[in-house]
Amino acid sequence: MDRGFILLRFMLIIATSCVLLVEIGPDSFPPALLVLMGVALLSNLAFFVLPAERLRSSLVIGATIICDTMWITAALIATGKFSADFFYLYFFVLFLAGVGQNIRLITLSVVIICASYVILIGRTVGFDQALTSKALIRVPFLFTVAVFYGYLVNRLRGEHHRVTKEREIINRLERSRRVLEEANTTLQAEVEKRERIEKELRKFSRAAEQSSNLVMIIDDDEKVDFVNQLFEEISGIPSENVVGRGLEIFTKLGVPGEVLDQMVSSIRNRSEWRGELPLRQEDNSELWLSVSTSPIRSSEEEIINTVVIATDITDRVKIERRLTVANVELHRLGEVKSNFVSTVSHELKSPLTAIKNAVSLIDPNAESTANEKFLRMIKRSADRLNFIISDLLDMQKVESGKLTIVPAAVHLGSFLGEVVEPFESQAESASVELFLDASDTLPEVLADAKRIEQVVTNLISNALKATPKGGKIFVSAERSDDAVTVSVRDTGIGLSPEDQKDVFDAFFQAGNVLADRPSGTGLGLTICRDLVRGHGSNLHLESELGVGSRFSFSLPVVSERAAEIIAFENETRTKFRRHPYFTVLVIDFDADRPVGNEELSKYVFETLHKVLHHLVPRSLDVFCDQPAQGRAIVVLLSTPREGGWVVKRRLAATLATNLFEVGGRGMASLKVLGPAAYPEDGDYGAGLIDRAILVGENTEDES
Amino acid sequence: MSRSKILLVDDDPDILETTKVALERADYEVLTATNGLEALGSVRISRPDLILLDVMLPGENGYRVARTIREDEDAGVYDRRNRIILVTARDLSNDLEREELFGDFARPDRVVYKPFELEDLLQQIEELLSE
Repeated sequence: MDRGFILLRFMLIIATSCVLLVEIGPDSFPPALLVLMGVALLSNLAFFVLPAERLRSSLVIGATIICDTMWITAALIATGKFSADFFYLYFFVLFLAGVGQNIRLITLSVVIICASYVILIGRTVGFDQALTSKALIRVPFLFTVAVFYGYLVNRLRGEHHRVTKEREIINRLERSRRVLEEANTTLQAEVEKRERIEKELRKFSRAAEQSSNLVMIIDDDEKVDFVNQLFEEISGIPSENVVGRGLEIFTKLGVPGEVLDQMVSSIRNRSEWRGELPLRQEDNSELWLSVSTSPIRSSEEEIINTVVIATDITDRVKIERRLTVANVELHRLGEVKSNFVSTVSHELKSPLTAIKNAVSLIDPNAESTANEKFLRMIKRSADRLNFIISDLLDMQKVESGKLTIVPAAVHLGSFLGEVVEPFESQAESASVELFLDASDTLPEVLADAKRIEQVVTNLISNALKATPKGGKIFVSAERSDDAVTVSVRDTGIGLSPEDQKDVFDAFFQAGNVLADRPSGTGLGLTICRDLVRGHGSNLHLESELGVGSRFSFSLPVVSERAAEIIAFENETRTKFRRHPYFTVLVIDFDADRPVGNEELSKYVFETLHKVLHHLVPRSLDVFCDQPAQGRAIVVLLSTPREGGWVVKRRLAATLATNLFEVGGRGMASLKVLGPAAYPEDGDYGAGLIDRAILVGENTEDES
Repeated sequence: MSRSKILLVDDDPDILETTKVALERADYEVLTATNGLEALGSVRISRPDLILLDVMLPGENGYRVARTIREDEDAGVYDRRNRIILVTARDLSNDLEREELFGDFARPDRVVYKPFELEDLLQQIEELLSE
């Protein structure tokens, strides 16, 4: 609703007022009508104030129409001055306004009606009269009524029309929106589905790409469709040289015939296959693969391609091979051991038989001289039994690392004389000449006299057994630099090169028992070798079949420093009687792995060995996994670098835990000989020895 | 009846000595050998009635000596079967040895294990000689 409505209503009210005033006359105008018109005017004023939207509603318009019609009609009827003609006319105008479609037409009809009315009045009272008649005021009134209602009804219709149209548009929009929404939902679902599929695809393709297996996909035409990164790396063939090629590609990989044929035919037949095959690598080493081929079916059970997956099992194959070798070796050792048991039982039972025989031959009634022979025989056999048992026990000690070596200064000249002497009569009865060449001027050496006597005795006794009548045996000691070499040489049967290799093996003789009669348990040389090793030296053998053999080893000359060391060692040994050995780990960080610089490590180890006896060399793994039971020394040949951090970390962990008591078996202590122990100015040994002594002293403090 | 002749083969001088004394006390004539070749020679020349053969001998071991004697018998070298008692100190857990001892290889008449009782040994000899 707009200003037009308000203006038209003003006009209506004014027109009505004029009609009523004219008809009734101002003197007899009833106050009730005045109030009514005042209310109408005030209500129209209120429309000015009301917001425009309120006025536009059909309710307000409708109410206004009904109210206005009622009070105007009521007012007209109440005057009683209007004829029935006028009311017909009035209602006709109202009717016209109500049914009229167009405001202009309504106006036109009303103008015609009014004109007709004027003419009608003019006919009855004359036109002069008519134009001045009071009744003429009714024309503009009717006109105003017609325009007002016409306008209102038109508005109402327009409003209705507009609302209907709007509603229609809204409905149509709603329908379109719904259609769109549906389409959107479908699209969303489609997009999600695609995303899921894509994700899935990405996952599998990444899995294949980054798999730790070699993956190859062969399509239905037996052409390679895909190979992953690892395939390229291991085969050394870029994927573009493989993809699109046929199955002949396998022959390029150096796979041997038969297994390859099986695999290729399984791919051709679209069947499952599993197998192991070696690839020959560029450096001619073998790469073992465990290969499986499996056909991939679509959801319609149709085979779409074949996936070939291969795993690198080179390590496993290597381990298997090593195990096989170890197994054979174990089996051999088992046989050797079994032979050894036979031999030992023979060695023990022979003297026992002699003793039993002799005992049963002793006649208590006979003269003592008659029995004496048997008694001597019993003693001799008992001694022999004792000797064999000692050998076995020594072997056991050596094997379990319990053999102790207590070095002291030994004068070889007089010492060897004492060792050789008991053999002179034996050599004489065997018609073998025994020579000793050991000068009294030889310097003192560092050795455990008891153990070295055992070694030399064993070597001479072996030489006597191996030397036929008329042969010669030479026992000698010669100085070379800061060591003295002790050797036992014979002109006996000698050893073949193969036997020389095995001669130091425990049970060696036992293994050949049926071919030749063994002398002793076969452990003598093994024990000798280990005793000499315990001195930080090696037992060397030179021999020629039919010419003779020479066994030799060297012992260090006692120097001023060595004398100090002996003192230190003897002192610490009493302190650490329960742990008479050291564990040594030599690490060279320059080489980035434990015991890298082999020569230097060996030197360090040997140098330490001379100082601290019974060193047990350990690899890093063993060292970290099995805590040392005694004192342990870690020798770092250089400063740890970046690359050595793993070693460093493991070492640090071991050091941290093992500085405490180990297994309740006494204090274990670990010391790191840092780069200070690294040889400087060509003085290899001194630094190390100083550090080693320091370790001993510190250990004492900690315990 | 003349005394039975027994060849005693062992490389251990003490065992050889004591067994010899025991056999002589039992009134046997005793020959001795300290290795396989000596024993074979003695068997061929002296034709003992019984051979007491140790297994662990230098050179030819007891099994092989026994086998050679048996092969010679098969070839008709001897006009009678030799009585052989093998003496061993070795344990018989080893299959090979069991085979050598009891199989076709050595074919001894009896086996005696060291250390033995002299009385027991003498009884075995007597039994075998009277067969």
